[in-house]
Amino acid sequence: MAFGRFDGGIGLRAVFAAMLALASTFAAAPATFAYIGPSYLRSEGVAGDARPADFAGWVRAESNYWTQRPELQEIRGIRDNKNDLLFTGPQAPAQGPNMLAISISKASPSLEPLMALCRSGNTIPAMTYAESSELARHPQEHGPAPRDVPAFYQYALRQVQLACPVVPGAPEQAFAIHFAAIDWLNYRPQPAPRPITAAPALTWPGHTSGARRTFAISWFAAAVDASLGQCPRMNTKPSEADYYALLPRDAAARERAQRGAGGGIGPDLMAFRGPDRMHVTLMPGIVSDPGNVAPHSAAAPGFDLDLRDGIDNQLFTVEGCVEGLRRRGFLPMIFNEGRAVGRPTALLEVSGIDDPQNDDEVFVTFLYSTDPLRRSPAKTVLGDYTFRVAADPAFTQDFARFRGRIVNGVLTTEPAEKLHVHEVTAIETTIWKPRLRIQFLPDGRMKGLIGGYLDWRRRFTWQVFRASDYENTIGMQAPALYNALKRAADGLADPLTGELNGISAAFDIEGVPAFTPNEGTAQ
Amino acid sequence: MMAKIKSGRAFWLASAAAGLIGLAVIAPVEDVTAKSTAAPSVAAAPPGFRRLNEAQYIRSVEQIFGPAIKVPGRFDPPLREQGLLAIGDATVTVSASGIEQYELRAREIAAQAMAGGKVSVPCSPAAGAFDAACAGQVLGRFGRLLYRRPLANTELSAVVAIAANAADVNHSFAKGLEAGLSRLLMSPNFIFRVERSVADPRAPGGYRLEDHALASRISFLLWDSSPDEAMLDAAARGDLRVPAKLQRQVDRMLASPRYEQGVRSFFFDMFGYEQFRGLAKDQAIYPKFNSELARDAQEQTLRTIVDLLVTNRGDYRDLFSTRKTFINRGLGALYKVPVSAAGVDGWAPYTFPVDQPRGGILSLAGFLMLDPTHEGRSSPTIRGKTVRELLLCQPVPQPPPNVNFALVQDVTNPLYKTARQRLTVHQENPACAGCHALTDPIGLSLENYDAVGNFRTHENDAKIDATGTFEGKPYTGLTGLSQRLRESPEVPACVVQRAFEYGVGRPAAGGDADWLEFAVGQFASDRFRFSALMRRIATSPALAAAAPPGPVTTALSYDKHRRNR
Amino acid sequence: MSHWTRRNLLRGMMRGSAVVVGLPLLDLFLDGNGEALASGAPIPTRFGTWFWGCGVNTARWFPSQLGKGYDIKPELAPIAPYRDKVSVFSNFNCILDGKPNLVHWSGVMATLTGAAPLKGGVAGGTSEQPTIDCLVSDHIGAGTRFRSLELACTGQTGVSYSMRAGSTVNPSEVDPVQLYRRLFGAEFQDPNKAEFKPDPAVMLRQSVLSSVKDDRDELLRSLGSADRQRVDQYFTSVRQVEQQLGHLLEKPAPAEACVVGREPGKAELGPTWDVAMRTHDLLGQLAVMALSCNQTRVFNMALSIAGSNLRKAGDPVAFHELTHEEPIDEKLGYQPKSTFFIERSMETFGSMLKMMDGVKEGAGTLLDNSLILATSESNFAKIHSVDNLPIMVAGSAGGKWKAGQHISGNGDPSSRVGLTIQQVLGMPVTSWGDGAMRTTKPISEVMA
Repeated sequence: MAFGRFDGGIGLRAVFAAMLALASTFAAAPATFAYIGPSYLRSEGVAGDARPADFAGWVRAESNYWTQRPELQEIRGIRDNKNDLLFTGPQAPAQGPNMLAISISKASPSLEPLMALCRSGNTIPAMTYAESSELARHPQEHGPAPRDVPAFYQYALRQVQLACPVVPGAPEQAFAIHFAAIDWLNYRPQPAPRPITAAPALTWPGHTSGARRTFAISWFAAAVDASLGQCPRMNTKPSEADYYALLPRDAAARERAQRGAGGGIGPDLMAFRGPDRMHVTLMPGIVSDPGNVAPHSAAAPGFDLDLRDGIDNQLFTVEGCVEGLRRRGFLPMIFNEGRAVGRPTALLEVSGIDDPQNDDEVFVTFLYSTDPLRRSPAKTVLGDYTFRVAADPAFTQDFARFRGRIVNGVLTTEPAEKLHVHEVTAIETTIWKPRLRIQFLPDGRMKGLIGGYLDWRRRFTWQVFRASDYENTIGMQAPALYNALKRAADGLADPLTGELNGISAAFDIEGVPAFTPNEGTAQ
Repeated sequence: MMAKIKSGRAFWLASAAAGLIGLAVIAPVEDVTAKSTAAPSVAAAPPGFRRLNEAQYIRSVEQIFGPAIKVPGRFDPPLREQGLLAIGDATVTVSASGIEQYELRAREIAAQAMAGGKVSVPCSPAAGAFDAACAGQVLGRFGRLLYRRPLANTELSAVVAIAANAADVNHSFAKGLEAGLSRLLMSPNFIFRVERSVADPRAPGGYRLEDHALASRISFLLWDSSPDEAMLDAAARGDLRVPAKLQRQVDRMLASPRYEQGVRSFFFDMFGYEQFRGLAKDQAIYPKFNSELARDAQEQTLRTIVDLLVTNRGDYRDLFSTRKTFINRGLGALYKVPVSAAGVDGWAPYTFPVDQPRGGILSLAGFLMLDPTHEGRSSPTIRGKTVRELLLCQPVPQPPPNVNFALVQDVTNPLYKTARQRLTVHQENPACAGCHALTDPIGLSLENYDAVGNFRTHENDAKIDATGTFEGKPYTGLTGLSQRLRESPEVPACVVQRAFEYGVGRPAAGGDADWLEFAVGQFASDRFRFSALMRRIATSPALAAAAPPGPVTTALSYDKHRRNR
Repeated sequence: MSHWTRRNLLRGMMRGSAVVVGLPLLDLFLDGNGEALASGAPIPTRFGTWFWGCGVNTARWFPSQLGKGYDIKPELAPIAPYRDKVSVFSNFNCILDGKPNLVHWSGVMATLTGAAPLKGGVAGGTSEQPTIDCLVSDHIGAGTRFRSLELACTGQTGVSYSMRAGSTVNPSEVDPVQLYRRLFGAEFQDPNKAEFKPDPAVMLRQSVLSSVKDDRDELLRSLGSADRQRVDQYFTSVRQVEQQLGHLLEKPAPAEACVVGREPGKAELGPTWDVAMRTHDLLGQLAVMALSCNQTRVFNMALSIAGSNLRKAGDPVAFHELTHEEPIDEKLGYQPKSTFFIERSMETFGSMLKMMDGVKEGAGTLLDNSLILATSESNFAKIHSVDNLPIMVAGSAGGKWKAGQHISGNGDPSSRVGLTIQQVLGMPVTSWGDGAMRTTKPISEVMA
């Protein structure tokens, strides 16, 4: 499996500047949240097929967002250290009049009754809406929610008027739910994020005999790097034509005239290219699937996760031809550049080594340190530094341990429950059922692969939670990515519905030799 | 000019030392007076004229005017003569650009001192008036601290005259005092340590250093700074001529935390650490190197020295074998060892485990890195020369006059793989072998450590051969060399010689040989405790010995200028 | 007299740094022939030394033809545009006569002091006599604020070939920012400012220095003879600075060529060749400014120390080591890596000539009104040879020196060059040098 290197990507400094500029522009504005994933609606006379017991008979929505013009969310951790132990509450408006947008699968039995209700033009006295408290959090959080937070926030929406613009080819139907008033049924508005605590995931050091080797992770990125020839063409960002496609002709003409020679559609506007100017990055199912270019490759890096033949790395098929996600693309470069600046350094410790070539029991522990990586003047990461293992619960909650074995110098582990990887800005990665394969290089460094499943809805949200400008900078279209991820999902089946919420993935890691403080005690 | 004790005596000394150590086990370590049999005398040398170096200048200013003073300007680069910067300070001259810098400093320091409120003025004359007595009091007091002796009446009135003139021009008494202070700071009596000799009352016809000059020597030896008020008072009372009272002052200084600075300054000089300033290594070849790492390397060895010699009153020779040192994050990465949590944030004590190829100060970056002439590789010749000249007090001669360099350079051979191969040519040629036989074998046995101190087994794929011989005895590698050095009598003899030279500010001469031999013997009986050596030198008549100043006969160029203008 | 206005500054980019090019002495200030100032005083003659380390390749540097219009070999190519203003000397030797060949020391000291030294080596050493720039500045330097300027391009203040007898060199300026502040900072008196008021603070400073001299006699009484020389030196230096301050109290003569530019930005210093060359140009530009503004008449520029540490980043060995270790390429006939640095050195000297020749003064240029003695410490560094030392003298001292010739010394001591320079500058010397280097024979071919 040879993977070429594509030297694409936008100048980092320009991007950082742009992100900062945008962050500061919108920092003061209230962040409006949304998520991809199930939420539930109950409306008198509309039967639904939602499966969870609490919402039996309710209508299931595939995605949602609050307010007419949802704005960009903040990226935490750009200007100062990100606080990982926060719980952000619901961002539903405290009172009406306001709007909730949802999308319903066109395969849902509730579609027709809702469309009828909508076309009738009647004011519906009340509807009840429930959204997941976990999915509604800021995407950069992951610590345990406080005990008093319900699994689903519930609201009563009063004096509801519906709008339901139709897009014939789209897989989902958008509904704009305008309400005159809203009652919070089981939670109170929480304007600021709440501090939370977390318990350490494991005790470190563990107690094993044998030798120990520690590495500081110098590179972490999704293993989706396809060589140039593998992509018939690259995926593209949305075009001006896409912006005008769903506008009524006269409105489009007026707007074009207004724009005149003034220039193209900025990314903040481009997101509102759904029907009725609805937001397409937050509700990607409401327009036609533009299609995703997948790599022409029968081979990919990864693991056989489900123990059927073949490598499971469906993420590769989705992201393999997205320019900004390749090794020299925008996001991995920023994440790894920023590693030395205040964000935790990830450490990987292999312990219990009796024989470095063949050993039937070793342990791999994933740890974090707040001591920074050191780089040479040529910007390569330097090895042999000592890193103190973090005691902060924000990081100790994410330590993970794997049991593994070494066969002919290659270390493979059994799966663990999950692995959460802290990155610098904007994307947190939780890998479910992770397992590792590690090679010790002759010069003391380490190269490896982590495989497992990502919750594809989270993966999507991380790519777009700033609601629009990533399409532009990464080089993709949200609806294409959404549909492709959904199609490619191949794991983490929902116990109730059987839906596949996970997509198999693999991540490249590289490490340089490192030490943890020699306290003279346990190995 | 004597550079080291003759080898015959060295052999005698080794056995004498062994015998005395046996004795010393029984006797208390610090009871020096019991063993003071009549010490031999030293060569009578004229009193010195030694310029303060940058650190001494700044330390003196801070001591006198307070730590808030910022000392501006550029100092001349240090000059190493005959193995010590301290001797260079006694030979250096000041150019016009140097005077420019001193003049700038004098003005700035005086202004800061007046503004900072450290100069207490016990009078407040009316505007326009000049209180000469008061000015005399203030300037006399600071003059004594700055000149390290009381000012003569004529000296003081000249300074007061400057102050009066300035006060008049500026209509400000404070400005007058400021000018007076700058006058004091510009005097060679401050910038140089001016020594005077006086007739010795106890030895008719003999001479000794004047009391304040002796106070300076002791203070710079033990604290590397100007004498404090207590010491100046003791000098004024004549206490330094009474052995018991002299010892009391010396013991006071040895017990002070400022003694640590004195030890640091001495070894900074002896081990050549002025070379750390501006030390550069090629970062493409040594990516971990930067100026912070160079500073850490210097600091590591100095802390190790202080810890062994001062805090733990250890045996000087253990510097070449001790695994106990200090470490921080950057050095941990260089040596490829884990550092404790305290060390990640700052400095922490550290002992190299037995399986690490480190032990003794030669195995630390402070020695291995210290070559300012080669940025891209280690130089066995320079390392060997450093060991010879700085640790063993054996100067390596200049190339002889009749060397035909054309013969040495074989133009047909390609570059060799290891340093040993490259340097073989020098050792095979009789004209070069003389010096290179002294330096290269030592340096080549250290080739397992590259130019920044990393350990390596191969150079350019060829295995490094780290064998050598020292004083006829074979050894392998740095541990072997350290062991040989530890056993060699030249090592303690050299530090005794250097400490003496550092104290008196001149190279040791033939007339000093007897005293040095005696001191080396005492050093051994003191179990090579460095503080005992410092105490011995500080209290010894050898430090106070001086020749009378000669008559002024030659017309100097300055006089010529004066007459012609 | 026609009304004149100040012209605009000419700004040029020199290897990335903004630099101000001085303007010519306005002809207005000159007499009818363009050879003297309107006041009748002649345009002052300037003197400089320029040093590079580790010599040349004999066959690629020395011209074959003698006299004017000499041929330019590859290593001298950078000075080709100025050939008629540069004199080249060959076969002038450092004659040891039993004294040691102190590597990378004897050769340069012979030419600059007229005597072969007794102590020294690749890291420097002692000198029995003062270097020629000290003698010249004693003669012509008293009238300017600074007697001389010492400059070094590798960031090391100890690199200097200007010294009195002894072992202390006159330390060099290495940082263009510091040099700018020293020359054109608070103490600078703009010669073209109409208003002038002597600063009382300067008078006070002068009185302090004057008073310091009172300490001298007592010191001389108490010290040994060796130290008396050093005391003497201290007070000589004090007097020099006192005189420097004295100049600040006099209204300076106008100098139209003097325009003060911006302080240079902070730049990297170090021995990598490109950094050293850039530093040279910045320091050299400031020196040219100082000469044009009559702040000094004498300067010394050292590209590096004699055992040159010029290097290429990433290479394990520097120039000096290369000269010894690099084999001679059979096809080329020289050491390619070492020669790289020889060529860069000559290129840098060419840059110095360009800067000096770029300032118009009267009928000629600043270079024409100067003499620059350029030399190295060896002929072929690989074997430390001190015969046939590479020596150049650029400029023509306002017409008193016949430039542009290649002259052979036929094995004579290199002190002949220094003797000739001193005589051309009007110094009353009939012999110069010591021991086998002593000479009474100037090089008459260059004397006008």
